[in-house]
Amino acid sequence: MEFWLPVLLIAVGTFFIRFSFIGGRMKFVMPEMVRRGLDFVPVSVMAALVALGFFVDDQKTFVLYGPSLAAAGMASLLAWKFGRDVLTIAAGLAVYWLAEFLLI
Amino acid sequence: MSDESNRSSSFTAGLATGCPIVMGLVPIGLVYGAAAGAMGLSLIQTVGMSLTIYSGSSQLVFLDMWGQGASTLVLTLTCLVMNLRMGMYGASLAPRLGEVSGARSAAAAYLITDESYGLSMGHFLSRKAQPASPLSFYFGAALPTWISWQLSGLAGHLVGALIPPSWPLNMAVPLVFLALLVPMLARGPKLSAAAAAMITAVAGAGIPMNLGLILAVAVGIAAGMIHSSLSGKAA
Repeated sequence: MEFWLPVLLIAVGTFFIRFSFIGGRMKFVMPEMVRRGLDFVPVSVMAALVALGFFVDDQKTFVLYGPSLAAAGMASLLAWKFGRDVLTIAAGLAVYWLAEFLLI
Repeated sequence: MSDESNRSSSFTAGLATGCPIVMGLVPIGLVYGAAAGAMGLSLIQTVGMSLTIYSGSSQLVFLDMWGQGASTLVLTLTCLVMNLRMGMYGASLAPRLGEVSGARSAAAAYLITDESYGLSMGHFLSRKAQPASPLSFYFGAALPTWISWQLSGLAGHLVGALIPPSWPLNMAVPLVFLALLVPMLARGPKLSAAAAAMITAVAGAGIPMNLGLILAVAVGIAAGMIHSSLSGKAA
């Protein structure tokens, strides 16, 4: 119970968050400004998650860590040059692992 | 082309778009399953959480907080706040998907994740050939994420103890987002939005309940809109 109660509350709540607009329950004419704003949502979310992943440590503070920088640099270069690709992720992981290995 | 073949070709195109992300997700799913197993969750609990909540980041936060003995209220509120962004995704996707109703709308909603949204919108906003049926494309793009998340969580629980701690699995998620983000930054306003969101996310990382992430998204949107207004460019 102590496990399933929060799980089910989160599951139901998350479904309604997801469903609120897709399911047409919230019907309204979206102002042009809101539509324009929503086009910036993916870029902003992904950039924020990238920044948190590469430049914020477990203590939630800013950190410049060599392997993270190397992985981010290599992955950015490959993503920019070749577009989104498994290559970007694999090379990023490999560079991170190698840089950490060399540091240790 | 008939409706059915339109749907089928759109679904296939979506699958092709959605498959590469599997490689980035599987390590995270393995980590999730392994962490859940290590915390004493049963296989049913581990898989049940993936099936019902189906949100990797909040599932990992849940595990962390549950292990610390957080109350049901705090746990629930934190994870729901984290998932608020999916409301924005739904609002952003809805006009692209057209009229959707019944079970298909419930399925489309359930499948909203960072990945399915990013992959689909990335395609819808690109100059690539657009699918005849955006909904089928979306289902195709979302399915590999769902399958790989469910199976990798299951596998992680089963083989958890065997994953070497030296593997940099924690870097896989940000790398996935980097791979998606960079090709979207061709135009000025998007670059401004990304830069503002990154700075705010780092500065606000200490804000409780992951509200820093919501703030970063809001600042990113504002920066992008201001830039596009000033330069007269669309997003």
